Amino acid sequence: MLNYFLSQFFGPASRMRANTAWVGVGCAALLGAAGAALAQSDEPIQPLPTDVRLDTKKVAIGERLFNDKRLSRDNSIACVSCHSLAKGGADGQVSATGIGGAKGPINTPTVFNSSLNFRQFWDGRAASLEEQAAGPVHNPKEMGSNWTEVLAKLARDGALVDQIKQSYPDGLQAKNIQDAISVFERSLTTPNARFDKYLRGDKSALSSDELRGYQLFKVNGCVACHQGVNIGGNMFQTFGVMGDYFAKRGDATAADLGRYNVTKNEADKHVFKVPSLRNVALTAPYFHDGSAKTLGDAVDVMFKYQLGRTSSAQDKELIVKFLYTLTGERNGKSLQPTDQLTAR
Amino acid sequence: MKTVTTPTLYALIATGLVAALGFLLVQTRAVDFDTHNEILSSLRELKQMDAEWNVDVLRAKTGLSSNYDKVANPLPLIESLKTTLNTKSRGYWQGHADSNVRLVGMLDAYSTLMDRKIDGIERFKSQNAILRNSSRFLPVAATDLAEATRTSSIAADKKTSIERTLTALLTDTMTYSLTPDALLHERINTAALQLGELTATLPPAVAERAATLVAHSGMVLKQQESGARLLAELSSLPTAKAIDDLSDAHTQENEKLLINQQRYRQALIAYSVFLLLLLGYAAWRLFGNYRLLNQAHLALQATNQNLKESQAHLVQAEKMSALGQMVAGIAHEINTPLAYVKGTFSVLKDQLIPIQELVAYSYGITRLMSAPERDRVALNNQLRCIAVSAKNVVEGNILHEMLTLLKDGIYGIEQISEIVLNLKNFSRLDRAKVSNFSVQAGLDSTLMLANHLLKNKVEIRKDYGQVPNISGSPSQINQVFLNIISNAVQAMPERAGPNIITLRTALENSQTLRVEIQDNGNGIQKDVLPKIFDPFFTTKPIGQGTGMGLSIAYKIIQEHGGKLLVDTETGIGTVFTILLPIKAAQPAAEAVNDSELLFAA
Repeated sequence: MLNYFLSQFFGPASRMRANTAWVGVGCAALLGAAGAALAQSDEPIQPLPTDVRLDTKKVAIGERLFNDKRLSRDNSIACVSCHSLAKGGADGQVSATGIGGAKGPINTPTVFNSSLNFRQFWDGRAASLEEQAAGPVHNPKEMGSNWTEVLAKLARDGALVDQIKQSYPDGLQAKNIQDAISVFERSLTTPNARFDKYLRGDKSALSSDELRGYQLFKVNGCVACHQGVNIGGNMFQTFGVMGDYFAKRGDATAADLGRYNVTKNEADKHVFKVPSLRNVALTAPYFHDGSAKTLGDAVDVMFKYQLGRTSSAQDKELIVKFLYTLTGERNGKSLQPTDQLTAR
Repeated sequence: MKTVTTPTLYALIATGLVAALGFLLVQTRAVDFDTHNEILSSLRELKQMDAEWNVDVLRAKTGLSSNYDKVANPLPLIESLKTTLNTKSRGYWQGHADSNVRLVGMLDAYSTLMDRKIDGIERFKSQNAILRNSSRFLPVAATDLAEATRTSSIAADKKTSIERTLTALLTDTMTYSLTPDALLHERINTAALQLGELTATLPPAVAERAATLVAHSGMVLKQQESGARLLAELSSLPTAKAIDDLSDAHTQENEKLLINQQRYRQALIAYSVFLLLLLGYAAWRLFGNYRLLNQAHLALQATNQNLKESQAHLVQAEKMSALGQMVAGIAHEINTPLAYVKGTFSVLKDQLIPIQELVAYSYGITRLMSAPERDRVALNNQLRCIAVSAKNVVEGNILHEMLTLLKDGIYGIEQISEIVLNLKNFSRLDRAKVSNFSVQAGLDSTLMLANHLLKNKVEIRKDYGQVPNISGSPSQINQVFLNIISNAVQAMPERAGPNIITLRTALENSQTLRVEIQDNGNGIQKDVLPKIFDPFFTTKPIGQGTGMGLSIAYKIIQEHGGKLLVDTETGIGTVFTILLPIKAAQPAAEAVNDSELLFAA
């Protein structure tokens, strides 16, 4: 009887979905079997593009600036200080550490694949990476500086000024620094995760457990929010749909209010940008408050407060295994540390 | 009322005309069709995107899209199109206040609408995710509950009623999630309540699962409602109409702009014609003025010519006057020795009578002596006569007297000759420059010629130093001396004391010679002093002076590279100081010509 309902309600949906052919996701998809391509078009998660074309000179300038501590008041902090490319594009801390050891209010989001987020910051207050770059520079608990100060310092660096002048005719300017950094950040995508390979038709890329994890990820509704190319990062969602996470956790902070801080709209209280799950195995601790130490903890919280149920220990383990397959490559090398590989 | 000067007035008028031209030019500046088209194409693109976005939202809603990338992706493009539209449109309508107000108002309204739409779509995504999660999980929750119920140890009839209720709840909720209606809503609430009551006292495995199912069912109801509300709200947002309105308004305003521009262009043409006419009038006036000016110029030229001729006449008159004075002087000077010679000669004529007598007797005797027959009586008589006559001549010392008289006569003639020589020296009619001119000799010649002026009236004192000869034109320099000396004489008052003119020569320095002519006359009045070297200036009654004397003197000294200075003290006298270079400076050719003109006449 139930099966009847299931087929009644999901059968037509499956048929309808088959109509929405997803075209042009990359060469790998086209090379794969037609069946695989069709299967892929069906999936709510899409692989990262492998080919990102950028102005390499600007990327070089951006990389230099990304690592430049002069962007902070006391020359102690660069972008890379919190967005360490060796630590999954984040810092592995509960919350960010700024100049003079100041503790930031929120967990550092990864810089990897940030160009695929529809907005920046946990509360989505920046519409673009260019806009985002100015944020930490001015935040008194992060870099604690301002453009006038930064430009004055950088202007003394003739080599840098020349390098910028080559790509930006109007030379050393705040907007050009923002642009160069954002171009560099656009280069920080992590394609060819094992799951992406699977999506492109390489069925052997995932183990059966991992595949089972993916099925659970979908069946349990995780995919309702964590979907798209970036497996999240394209929508807002209330933290605590099916339960009051913040009452349970206690110690309410201003950052907990999320998007409300931007819109002052009551309905936006505790609303956050759904974070991308790419490279999620590298970016513990989790959530805006860094409260979940492990992926298992994070999955538990999500089940309880977002999905309104509890998962079995086995399901949780499988889902976590699936999440490990989302770790991608940078410059052709997997970001997954060797100890994680063996642990799996 | 403030008086405005004519040039200021003209400047104001000209500025006004140019400003009017500028205004018309600005008003007729080409309409930027590129920008216009870009704005319209941005609007079209926005509309297209808006329509596609609506479709994407519906696809997400119906589950046709499995993720929200398509719903999220247009955001940056919409943002950039909005920015482009805003800047372009504001730029385009800058300076057209009415259009600007209208379009900026519409743009702002559209922006607000779009922000509401973006916000609505964000909410829709969140809401839809929850709805889909719950509706997707609902069958699983129902299966779980059915399983738990089956395996539990509760009564069979209760199992059946739980299963019936949960099936009804599931069916109704799933139907509701597709086609919501109030009746269904009511039934779901009843079923949920029933299920709650049925399972309240059952073991947790069943009760908790039932609660989960009820919670998700409730979530479906809630999200379905809010989703429907959101979509209704979204579809009621007239973004497409706002874009159409913007497009229409933009086109309308642009047409107005074109019509306006057309009008201004016509005005510009009319104004240009007006300006051309004005210019023509100005040119005509200018030509008239030019003719007047030319006439005035010719008249002035004629006047100037007359003046030059008058001046030449006056110079000539001055020369004639000087000549007249000279002639009077010369006549007087020559007259004295001439009378003297005349007297001498008449005495000589008288003295010749006894000698004539003696010669006649002597001739008589030679004739008597040579006759064939001598007449002794006549001879003796003749001899007696000769003796008387000869005695008369010898004793009367007549020949000696005659010699003396002849000497006197010659002296008189020499005197005349000297005067003539002086005259010649003075005038040097050849006017050639000489390199060995002695100013002292010049002064002396001048004094001699002016003697008739000075005689019995002025005492001349000479204080000549050892000075070398200089080069210069004697006749011209002498004229300077004469002019100054005759002025000095004329300045002497009638008085008891002696009138003295002192002439001094000295070396000023190795290159310059100084000549001073000092009188102890009345001096020159202070108000007159600055004008004494001006041509035609004179203090003498009309007809007695030409007013050219000192001006000519000044010019001559200047041409010689020298200086003519004057120092005067009323009631005490005047000193004219002439400084002359010993070696003549090369005078400019022009100056020579000028002096030729001045003195050749």
